[in-house]
Amino acid sequence: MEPLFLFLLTNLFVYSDVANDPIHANWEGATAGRKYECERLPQAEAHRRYPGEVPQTSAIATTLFGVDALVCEHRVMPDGARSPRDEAVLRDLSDNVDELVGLAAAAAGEDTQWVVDAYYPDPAVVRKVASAARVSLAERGLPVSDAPPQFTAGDVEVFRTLPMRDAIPASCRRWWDIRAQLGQPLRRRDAFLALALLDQHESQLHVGLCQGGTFRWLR
Amino acid sequence: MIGRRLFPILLAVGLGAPALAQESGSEVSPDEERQAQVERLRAEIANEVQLEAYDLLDELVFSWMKAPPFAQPTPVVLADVIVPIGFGSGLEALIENHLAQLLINNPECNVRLAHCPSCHALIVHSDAQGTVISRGVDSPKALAKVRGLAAAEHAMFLDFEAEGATLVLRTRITSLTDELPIVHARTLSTATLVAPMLRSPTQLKSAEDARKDYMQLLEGRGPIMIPVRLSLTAFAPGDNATLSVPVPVPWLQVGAEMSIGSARAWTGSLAVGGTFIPTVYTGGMVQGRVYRLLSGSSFSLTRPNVYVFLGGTLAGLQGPAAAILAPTDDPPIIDFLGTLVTYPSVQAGIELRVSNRIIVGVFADSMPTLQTAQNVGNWLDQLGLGMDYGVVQINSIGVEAAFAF
Repeated sequence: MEPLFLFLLTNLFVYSDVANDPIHANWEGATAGRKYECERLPQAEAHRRYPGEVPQTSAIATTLFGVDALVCEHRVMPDGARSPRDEAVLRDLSDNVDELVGLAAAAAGEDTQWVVDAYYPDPAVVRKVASAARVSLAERGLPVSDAPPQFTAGDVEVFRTLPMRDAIPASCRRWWDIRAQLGQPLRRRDAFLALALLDQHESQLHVGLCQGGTFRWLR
Repeated sequence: MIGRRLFPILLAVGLGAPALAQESGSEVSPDEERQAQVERLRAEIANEVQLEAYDLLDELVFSWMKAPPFAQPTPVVLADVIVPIGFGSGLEALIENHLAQLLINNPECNVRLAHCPSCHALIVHSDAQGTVISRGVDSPKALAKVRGLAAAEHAMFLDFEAEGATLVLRTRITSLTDELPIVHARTLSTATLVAPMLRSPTQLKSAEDARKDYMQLLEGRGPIMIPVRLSLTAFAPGDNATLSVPVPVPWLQVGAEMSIGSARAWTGSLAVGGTFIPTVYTGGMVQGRVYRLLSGSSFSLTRPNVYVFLGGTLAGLQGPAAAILAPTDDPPIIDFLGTLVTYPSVQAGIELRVSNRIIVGVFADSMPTLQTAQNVGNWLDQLGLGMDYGVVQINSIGVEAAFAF
């Protein structure tokens, strides 16, 4: 009894550290562990971001131990709140869309007027992806229209019968033709950017560029 | 007779009830179960997302105050507020109201919200080129005919999305002309904000200033604190006690407490104290303690904080009552002022601190040199477990209340 009591007493001060260590979230099981998004940071950077929680670096500790911090935050949307495919696409939406838009902007060249559309099974996600791409283009200082490319009802019916991989190039040709029919100014550099999920079972967005009625997949 | 008739019925109902409940439970379809689960999850995270969304709106309007998107006050219709997929329209309404409040309170951002019912309405427009069915904001040509020239010339779209652990706000303002050009776009993320960004709508400030305030708040608490503490201790009654009740000793202490870092997870204190009961005893003490925060990794400014502490005390009591605490094998010093008993003790306890100003706690002392005194016993023996605790003895317990400066 006596050694046990003394052992518990001497460890009194480390209980808080043990309880607050995010690594112990694993005790809650794999499901609970997936709620966290963790990042390992040097102590100086962790102190800069979380000054109230991480102390300043100490010269001695840095020399002897190389202290770092494991920063774990709860995901805003826990697992199960959205479908796994939507979650996979939306979790890194900014990074992915910025990368795809960067590819397209480099391929299209300067002085391009942009329109954007997205292709995804869920219309709510279509709005998210298209909005992210438009804002990303506009933040690069590129002229972009908020209007999606215009098609007739008959065109849309035809596109729906085609596989996505074929429907988007077909929509590119129709977009160019309709602009000509409507008497809109045709400039060969004007571009229609398409972000799409080509297969129902994948979670990686693809990007294609339509310029002058010609379509090409960039990724 | 009635009871004998009722018994089988009650038994049947009793046995049948769980089965019926199970049967009725099985009628819940997997879709309904999933829907219920999603609703629970939404309720859990709704408050947190709402506050983060408000932070992002504050930052957006503040950036407009510094760099207005328009040179003159310009009416803008709020065309769309899109909340993260998985949330309902309740959050949209809250966000819309908060934005309206910010824009009304900060007119220097030159964005004036305009009321435009036809902008949101579904409009059917036919001309020689065809028939278009769309919302007003998506078809400026049709909208111009419906609303005339009085309404807004620009539409604003706010799109919030949860991306991992961060909430992202994408804002775009579109000119309501045929081409619908985007004239302003901005992306903000909670990953780039500092924690205390929830600011008063009438006194918005930059992220840098908010961070400066936060640092001042952290540092303003100061590394040093002066606690004034009143404690009351009670010695455990001894086995052969000559006193019928335990000896209570009140102490008034003052000292200094210093924290190692701004998180205040570890602190240490040094205090001196005194006690005086006329004609009974006079005493003094020196005490050192080390504190460890238990209720989190950093001191909370808003919630009570729980600390544990370990310390050592050197105390002395002088006067007629001190003699009764003297150990039998170590006679006390007797001088012209009376009997003097000095004793060291090891102390452990727990404290609750509110705002780092009001402190209450309980503690236990072990006093090795007083363990042979007739009137000093072991509180552990009072539990009546019949165990041998060896050198581990709790000779005194106490409560304390403190106010810190």
